[in-house]
This record gives sequence, structure tokens and C-alpha cells, in this order.
Amino acid sequence: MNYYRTPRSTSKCGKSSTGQSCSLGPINGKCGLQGSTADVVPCKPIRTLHWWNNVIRIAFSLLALIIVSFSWGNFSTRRVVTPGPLSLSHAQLLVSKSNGTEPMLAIDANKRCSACHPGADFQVEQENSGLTTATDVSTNQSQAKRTQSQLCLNCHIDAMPDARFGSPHDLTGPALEQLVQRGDRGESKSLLGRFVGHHPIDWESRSTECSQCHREHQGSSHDLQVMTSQRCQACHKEAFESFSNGHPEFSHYPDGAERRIAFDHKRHQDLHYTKKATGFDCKSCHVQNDQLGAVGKVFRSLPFETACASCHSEPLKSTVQDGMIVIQLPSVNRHELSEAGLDIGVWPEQASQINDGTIPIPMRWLLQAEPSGNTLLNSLPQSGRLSEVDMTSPQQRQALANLVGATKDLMSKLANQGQPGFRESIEKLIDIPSNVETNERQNAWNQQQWLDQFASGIPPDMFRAAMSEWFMPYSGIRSTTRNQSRDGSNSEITSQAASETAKVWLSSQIHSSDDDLLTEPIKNGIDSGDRLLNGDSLFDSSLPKTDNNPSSGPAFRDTKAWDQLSYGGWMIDRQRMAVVYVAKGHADPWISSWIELEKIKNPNVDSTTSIGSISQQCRSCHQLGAISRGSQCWRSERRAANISPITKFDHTPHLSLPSINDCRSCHLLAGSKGDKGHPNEFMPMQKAQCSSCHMANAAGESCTQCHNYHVGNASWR
Amino acid sequence: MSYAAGTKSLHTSDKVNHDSFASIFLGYASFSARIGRRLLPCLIVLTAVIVLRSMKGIAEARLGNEAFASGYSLAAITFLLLLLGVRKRVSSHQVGSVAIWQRSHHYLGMLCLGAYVLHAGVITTGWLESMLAISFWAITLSGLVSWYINRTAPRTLSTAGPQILRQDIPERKKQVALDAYRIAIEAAGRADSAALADHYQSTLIPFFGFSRGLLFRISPTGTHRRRILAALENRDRYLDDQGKELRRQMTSLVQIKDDLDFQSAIQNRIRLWAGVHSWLLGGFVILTIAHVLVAYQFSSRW
Repeated sequence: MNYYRTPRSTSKCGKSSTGQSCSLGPINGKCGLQGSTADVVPCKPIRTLHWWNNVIRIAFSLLALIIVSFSWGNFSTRRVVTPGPLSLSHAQLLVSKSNGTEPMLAIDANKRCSACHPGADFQVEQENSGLTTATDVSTNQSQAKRTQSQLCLNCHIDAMPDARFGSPHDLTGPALEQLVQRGDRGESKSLLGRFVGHHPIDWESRSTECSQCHREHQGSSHDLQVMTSQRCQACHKEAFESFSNGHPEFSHYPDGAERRIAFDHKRHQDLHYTKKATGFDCKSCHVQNDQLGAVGKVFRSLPFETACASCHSEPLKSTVQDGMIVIQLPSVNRHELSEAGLDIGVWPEQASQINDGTIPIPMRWLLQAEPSGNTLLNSLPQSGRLSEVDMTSPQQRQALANLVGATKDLMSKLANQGQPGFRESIEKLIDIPSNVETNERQNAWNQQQWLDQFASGIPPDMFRAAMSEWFMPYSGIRSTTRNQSRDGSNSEITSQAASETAKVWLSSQIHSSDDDLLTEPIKNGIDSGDRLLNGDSLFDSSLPKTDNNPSSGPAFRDTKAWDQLSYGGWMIDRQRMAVVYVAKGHADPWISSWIELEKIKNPNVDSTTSIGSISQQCRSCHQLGAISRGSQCWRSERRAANISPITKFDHTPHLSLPSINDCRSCHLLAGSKGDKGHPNEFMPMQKAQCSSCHMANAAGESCTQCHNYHVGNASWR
Repeated sequence: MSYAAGTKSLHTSDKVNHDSFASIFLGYASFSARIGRRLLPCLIVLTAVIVLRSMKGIAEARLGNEAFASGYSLAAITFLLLLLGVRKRVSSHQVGSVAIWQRSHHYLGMLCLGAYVLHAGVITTGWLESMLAISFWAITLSGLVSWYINRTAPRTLSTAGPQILRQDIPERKKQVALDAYRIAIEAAGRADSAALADHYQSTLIPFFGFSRGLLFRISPTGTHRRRILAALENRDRYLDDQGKELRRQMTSLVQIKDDLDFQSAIQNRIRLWAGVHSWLLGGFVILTIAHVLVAYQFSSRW
């Protein structure tokens, strides 16, 4: 083979271009004839094209090597590596300070890449990120190796606090496992459980990274929140072709869970609205065009005054107009007690004839809070009806006498100690653990607020006035020979001194040392000579002076709740010998507090043992069964805006479509709640209702259109 | 036209028709085979690009990093492309002909182009990525030019006489120059042919003795050749019959020299673009390695 035909020779004969090359050719870059004895002039070999190709190739390689070497340490500070422009939200973080304006969030120019990429800082590995105003969620790890997701959370931790777990859907392993297990129970298989494979999976070891779904460097117009349905099905093994083809039916929505407001849609539509010949329009209650909530401009309920008052305010008013008896003097047979040697002391004649009446629930509870209250109440008939007291039984007679004393003590306590005394009694009724855990402290604090608010409704003067009215004019102590006070001491009193004794007793019961101005009129009874009171229309001079009202001044006309307390408040019911609270109407805070107290004392209480007809009336609409404490239990449950459930829905775009702008086009009423065959008030939603529009070439059918990945506050439960 | 002539003509016509049908059929079959030979690999390449796109989708669906999937696919294809150079350098174990390797290289190059667009798009930013992209596009474009030249050069060379290896062309040129010199000497010895010798001395010595200009090497044309041949023919009125015979010999040598120049230019063009195609390979590999390292360094690990 001729050497010229070898394409990889690095040199060729210097005379080859003239056609005079010799057959030897160059050897090791030198002329083959050099040093030979032949009479030939040696040539100067020239480089072949192959040699030049190699030289240029090596030169380019060296050039690339030099460039890479010099720029290797500067990747984070210069635009050496830019896999693509950042999204708009992140690009603003890289605004240079040199443009004259100070950016809100500035990134150190030397750390522009390492702010998000933990491996980008080649010189100082894993230092603090460049975000100067970021919250370092892992301060302890600031010098340690951090993942890229942890750097993402430097800014996003406030919006997604649970994302720090790095677990699927921001749920911790057990919670996620619980969700999956809930879906593995056969019939009650949840939507998520259907998707996720049934093989045992160690969810604890599963971790996710932000960048697995949120792809940066795709340009300023790229939406970082866009996620393909295929990514969802990386974990959700029960793959299906599309929403319309394969997605499970909505067999469990709406679920028949108890709502706080027990509104019977079916009954209202078919019965009440039909009677009134009024159209049943869902939007009149549920749609608020001026507000936006978690599911659009649709809300579960409106305030009572807006949605219900037009029909329900009058019935409610008639229910509450008699008021709620807080304290009622028990009517006892003083004569029989006296014959049995039990003197009840100062006690109105009106309540001294027969054993009658029932101990009101509020009074019963207040008595329970007293030291021997429970013992006393247990000695009396369980029904609370005094007519059932067996007067032949010495124990029951003594209990009845003690009840009188306890009632006077209770009145005295409320009159003297006022709101703090009432608060103390209520506080004793509910159990507040002293060593509450951290997550319970908030509840405990709310409870203190609740007690304060509850006690603020007590007017001490009302009880003082009641005591003055009932006990001051007392003249019915006839020939009692023995006065047994509650502390067990006995004393002899005479009938002549009865009235004076009553004044002294009342004076001792209502402390006057603190404020003479306040107690003086009480001590002296109602001063008929008071000019101011004389001119008051409340005085009715036409009324006859009775034995119970021996004062010489004009008598008051009895207060009638429906007449004089149309808007609620406290009153002394002279006929019932009771201190009564008349509710102000719907959502009266003091009545609410009593019902809440009832619920706190006995969470399983039913309406028949409740504090009265008012409570029954309240409970007919307000389902407090699943609620523990707090005034929030009265309100319709609204989804907070910051809660991110697994499934999301926005009514607003749907309601703009004329064909489905009626709520009943999707939410079909099944029957009245609790009716046989209708466990749920509404028919289950049908997937076909959605898939008729939500298809690939129409409204879209990607997973993230209806589902959130970042589940917040565990609201999915 | 006589009958016999007409009959002959008919027979001739039948034969022509028969030949034309056969040639048409054969030509169609050849065309079909040629189309099939080219269409099938194109379909395979297209399918491979779709598969790569699907792989990217699969990586995406598995919450993987689709950039790594497409990147490693691109690296694998690039490695296969480099095997052509290995095949050319290894002469001891020849697996398949170079022509097959060359054709495979071309189709793999098309696949590589698709894989690159899937991986990086058309436009990139950043110094490192831009240099890598420039290298890639330079190699790809030079490869395409080289492929085009390789496809068209044989047909072009066939119009310039018998094909001669590039290494033999200088010697042939020297031989042609010597032959022209002898003709000129012979013409100079005769009074009726001296005009040819004068013309040789004044015009043809540079043509035979030196290489052609850069313009001819870049884009060889027959303009200069036609001008020289026309000038030679113009010398006939000063030549006798023997002198004209020498002029015809000289004309033949001019055509041979021009053909040699043409072949040299075309073959140099092939070599040049093949060289350009390989010049950036080393730098491209280095930048690719740096790119992979940086990608691993910057990417989130999962």
C-alpha cells in the first residue's frame, strides 16, 4: 500500500504537490531520503489535512476545557448556567439593585442560584440561602446540607406549613396511611383509596420534592401550578383514561353528615313555601353576589335576620316572651314545717302556703355549685317538683327547709357578689383542667372568655331589688318559736319583732358597708316619699295596698314580659315569685350561654331534659350534637378561605351558565332529612352532570381542576 | 419511406416500445425500492422520536425528571454517532461496511436532532448551555452539509472524467504538464506550428504549472476552461495540418487538467466539511460532561 493512500498520515512528501513525491514518503515527520546516499535532494514534509483536523479538534477541546474550568466556580454568580428563564413570580426575586430601585426581596448577587439550588454554591457549600428576607425554616440546618424543597419553603412555609414534611399531599405518613386505609375498607372505599394501590406501601419513607411537580425555568409565561394528570397517576395507581371514562362516581357526595343548621329543604319547599305560595329559590338564601367564599359566591347559609326572620321571628318571640326563670322562690308549706319544728325564717307569705312548683334548671345548677348543693338536691324528688316532697319523711322535710335557706343564700350571693359570684358558680359546674396541653390552651382561654361573657349578663341590682321586695315587706312570721338558720344555730324571735327582724336579716344579707348609697334604699324598702319615683308612671296609685306591700307609697304595676319587656331583659315576676330573664330574640347571648352550659355539662343531653322550651326552640334548628364548646357551634359551618381540601369547587363560573344557574339542576332534593329511604337530604351528585361539560376538548378534565395537591389543615377528614 | 424501411421501422418501434415498457417498469420498481429504502429509515427515525417523546412523558408521569430522561437518550444517541469514527479507525475488526455505518450515522443524526429539540428546545440561554448548543448546531449543520456533498459529489465527479484518488491528482497533473510541455517543444521546432508554442508560453504555462485560484476551489466552474479552449481554436488559422493536430492534443490536455482541478476541488470540499464536522466534537463532549455534572449539581435529588 502506498503511504499516500493512508488517510491518517500526519505528514506527506514536500514535493507531492508538484507530483514529484518519492515512494518512501516522510518517516516520523522527516523526509525518508534524509541521510541516504542517493543523489536526491531531501524534501521538507508538509502536514496532511488529517493532521490539521486533529490540531483544530484539540484546540477546540482545549478551548472548551479552559472555559469550563474558569467558569466552574462562578456558576452561582454569573449567568453561566441558565437552563431557561424563570417564571414571573420567581424572576422578580432576581431584580438587580443596580437599577436604582430597591427590590422588596433582594437576593445576594453571589447567591442568585444557591438561593434555590443547594448544590449551586460551589465555593461555600450549603451556606445560608441568598434570600435576605426569607424565613429560615430550618435554622438548625443552615450549615448542614439542605434539600431544594427546604429552600423553597424558606418563602412558602407560611402558606403551606405542612409542606415541611415533604410527604405526599403534605400529610404525615400515618395520616396518609389512614386515608388510604379508609379507602381499603371495601364498600366505604374513599375516592383516594380507590386510586391508590392496595399493596402495602411504606408511606413514611415516601417523600416528595417541590420540583417534581413545579418545573421552573420554563419561561415567564409558564404557570408553575400547572400539573398534568399523568403526574397524579404516578401514585394513584388506579389509572383511568379520563374524567368521563374511568373516574369513580360521586357516590358519597353529599354525605349525610350532621349540619349545624338543621334546615329541611324538602319540607320547606313542599310545605311551608307552598302554603305561603312563595317560590322556593335557593339563590335567595345561598348566593351572595357581593362576596366570594371558598366555593365561589355560594354560601351554606345567611344570617337568621336575612334568611329566616321573615317567617320565624314571630313564633320565636312568642316562645320566649314568658322568659326563662333563673331564680324562683320555692313554695313550701310553712305550717307543716313549723309543726315539725323547722322554721324557715324570713320567707314571703305567698310562697309559704303549699309545697308547689319546680326548681328551675338554672337555679338547680346554681345550687349544685354550692358546697352542699348536690346533697340537698339529691334529697329532694328527682323530678324537682316540690309537690312530690313527702312531708311525713323527716329527711325530706329538712331538705325542704334547707332548700329555702339555700335559695336565700343563692339570692344573697347574686345580690352581694354579683357577676363574680355567678361566674364562680358557673366555673364550678364545668371542669377546666389545670394542666391543659399546649393545643388545649387556646380552648381554655376561650373558655375564660366564655365565662366572662356569661357572667356579664347578671344584674346584681335585680336580685337586690327582688330580695327587698320579697323579704323586706315580710310580716308573715307569726308565732315561730324556733328559727333555725342554715348554719345550725337556733334563736328565739318574737312575733312583735318580726318586721324589725326581717329588716335586720335583710340588712345582714345585703352588705351595706361598701356602698351606703346603694343599699340604703333597699334597707328602707322602696321610699314612697321619693319625689322622683312619685312621678314615675310605673307607680299605680289605683292599686290597693296589700299586706305584702305595707309601705305607704304607691304600688308598682306588675311587670308583664310581653308588654313591658318586648325587647328582652330582666324582670321580677311577682306572681311566680321569680327572677326571670326574657330573651332579646334570636341569638340572645345569655340564653345561648345557658344552652352551651347545658351542652358542656352533659354533651348527650336531649331536648326533653333541656333548660326549657326556649332551649327546645333553639335546638330545633341548631344541631349542637357534635359540638363541644364555644359560641361557634351556633353558626353555620363555613369553610375557611385558607383551608385547602382535596376536592375544590368554584360555583361562580358554573352559575354564569344559564342552563345550570339553578342550584337544583345539580343538587337534587331526595326527601326530608331522616325520612325512611332518604338518609341524605340531597341525591348523590352524578359524575355525568360534570362530565357532560368537563371533557378534554371542552371545559377540561385535568385532575388539578377539581383537586388540590397541597391539602391544608387536614380538612379532608 | 420503403416498405422494408417501414417494416424495420415498425420492428424498431416495437422494440423501442418493449424496451420503454421494461425500462418504465424497472424504473418504477427501482424508484419504489429507492423510496422504500429511504422512507423506511425515515419512518423508523420518526417512530424513535415519538418513542423518545413518550419516554419523556413516562418519566414525567412517574414524577421523575424528564430532562434527565431526554438528556440521557440524547447522550446515548450521540455515543452511537461517535461509533462511526471508531469503525473508520478500526481496520482489524470490520463489522459491516462503512457505507452501512455511514447511512446509519445519517439517520441517527436525524434522530439526534429530534432528541435535542425534545431535550433543550431550539433556543437556549446561559453561557454553558449556549456554547453547548452552538457546538451541537455547528456539528449538526456541518454534518448535514457533508451529507449533502457526499450525496451529490459522485454524480458531479462522474462528469469530469475517470475518478482519481485525491492523492494521485498532483502526479497526474505533473504528467499532463509534461505532456503539454513536449507538445509545445514539438510545435516550436516547426515554423507552421510556432504560434501554438507562443500561445503555450504566454497563456498555458500558468494553467498547467500552478494550482487554480481560491474561487475555483470553492466553486469550480468551466468558464476559464472554455476561454482557454476558445483561444486555442483561434490559433488554427496560423497552423498547418500538423500544427492543428498538435493543437488538438493540447486541447485534450487542457480538458484533462481542468478535470483534474475540478476533481481536486470537489474532493477537497468533501474532506473539508468532514473535517469541520469533527472539529467541534472534542469540545462538544467536554461541554456535555460539564453540562451533566452541573445538571446533577443543580437538580433536586429524588
